[in-house]
Amino acid sequence: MPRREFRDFLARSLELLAAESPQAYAQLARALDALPLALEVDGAAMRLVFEQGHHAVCDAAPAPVLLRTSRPAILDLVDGRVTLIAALRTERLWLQGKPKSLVRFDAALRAYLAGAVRSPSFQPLLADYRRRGRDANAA
Amino acid sequence: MRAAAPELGTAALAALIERGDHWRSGAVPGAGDPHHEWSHFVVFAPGVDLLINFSRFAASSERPCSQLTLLARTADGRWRGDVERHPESDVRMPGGRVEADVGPSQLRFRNGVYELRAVLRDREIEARLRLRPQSRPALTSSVSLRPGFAMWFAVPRLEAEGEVRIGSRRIAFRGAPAYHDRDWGRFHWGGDHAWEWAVALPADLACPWSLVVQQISDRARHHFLSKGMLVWRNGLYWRTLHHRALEIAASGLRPAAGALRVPRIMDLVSPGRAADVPERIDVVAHEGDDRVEGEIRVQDLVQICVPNDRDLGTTVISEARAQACFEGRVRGERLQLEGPAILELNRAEA
Repeated sequence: MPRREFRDFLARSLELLAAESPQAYAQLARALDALPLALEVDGAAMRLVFEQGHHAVCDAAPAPVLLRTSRPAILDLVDGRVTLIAALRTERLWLQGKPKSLVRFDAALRAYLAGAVRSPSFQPLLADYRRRGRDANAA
Repeated sequence: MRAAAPELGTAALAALIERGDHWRSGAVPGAGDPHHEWSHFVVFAPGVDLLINFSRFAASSERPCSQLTLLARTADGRWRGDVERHPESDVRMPGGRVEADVGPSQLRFRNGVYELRAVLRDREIEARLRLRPQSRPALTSSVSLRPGFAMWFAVPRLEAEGEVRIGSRRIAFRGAPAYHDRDWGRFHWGGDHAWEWAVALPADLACPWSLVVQQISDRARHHFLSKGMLVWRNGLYWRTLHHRALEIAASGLRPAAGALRVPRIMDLVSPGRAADVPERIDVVAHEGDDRVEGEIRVQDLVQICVPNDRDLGTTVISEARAQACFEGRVRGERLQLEGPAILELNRAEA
């Protein structure tokens, strides 16, 4: 059965961003306006949609940009053990879309990360994502 | 610059430090700009150098954030460590006191000695130190930034002893030169300012000289806001050579590829590799009969990335381990100083 940890993490992190880093959230919303993302993390598929400055994490459906990765790859990126380029080259992170869409995705990712490092509640959320992943592996 | 009276004994020196080296928190005037404050230690020990920083910042409308920076450089030039933010429930930085608790890390000032325990969450690096001040402290007047201001309290030379554990390796030392300062003020990371700052200590503590060089400019580095060389001798504040008396020239470009960047997530947020760190800085200070010349040669560096306060850019603070060599004559005494240095460069990225 696909795991829900990332979907929960993503939804909660976007709520935090909107509340604690509104400047970053607005930039993220602009970058992804009318550009849905299809996300697959650890086999769980979902879609992230921004419309009129607000997000929704929805059930899976095809989208102009597809991102496929795993929890270990995400944590290796966050912890600086692997660079974004290296993760793409080794296909630990798979990204698919037209160049123009991928440029917008890159801007969105940078806005998301800039907001994450400014949001005081992001670190405990990330710690919870790590812990839930470890618990799921141990089960 | 004010210096303590030279005849102070240990108890009086401790009292003087306690009066100046304490958390200001909400007591810093000004409301609009974020409040930043940190207590910073540099130790040059045989086989390992340490940078330890307890810091706190707060915008007027936000709850404060506190973090610990622990960086260790081994003799092979490799830096390890991280910047870790801790929840406020695990932080204690009492106003008016020297001491701090940030998660499991602690700073105390007992019987005139700084006692530090600094440890990362994953326990990969842990340092237990005692630092005994060997010089009287100095307090700068307010330094203008754009916008805002900062104040600076420095104990330029201490003698450190203790033990550092990096993974399974333990390094114990005594009699190592160290530096400490406390900075506080209201300013923006990412404001219209940049700085170069360096502390140089003698490898041999028998050498009486300690030295700090700093220049603060606008971000484009066209206009200098402050510039000075501060000289201490035998633990006494000895001389400041100001702005017009000082020429600081950078040359070469130190590549940052492969340099550790902390917090680790900032490699994703700000993946740029252009460090804007020189290979070398030449300094000439000349005023009246006083003249000091020297160089600071960069060996390797670590980069601390700080999110800008008002935009989504990043300020990169490069901490470069360097070797310093200065000589000259100040207030009639011949100055010779050769030893380790930290060169710190503040560069904001848009």
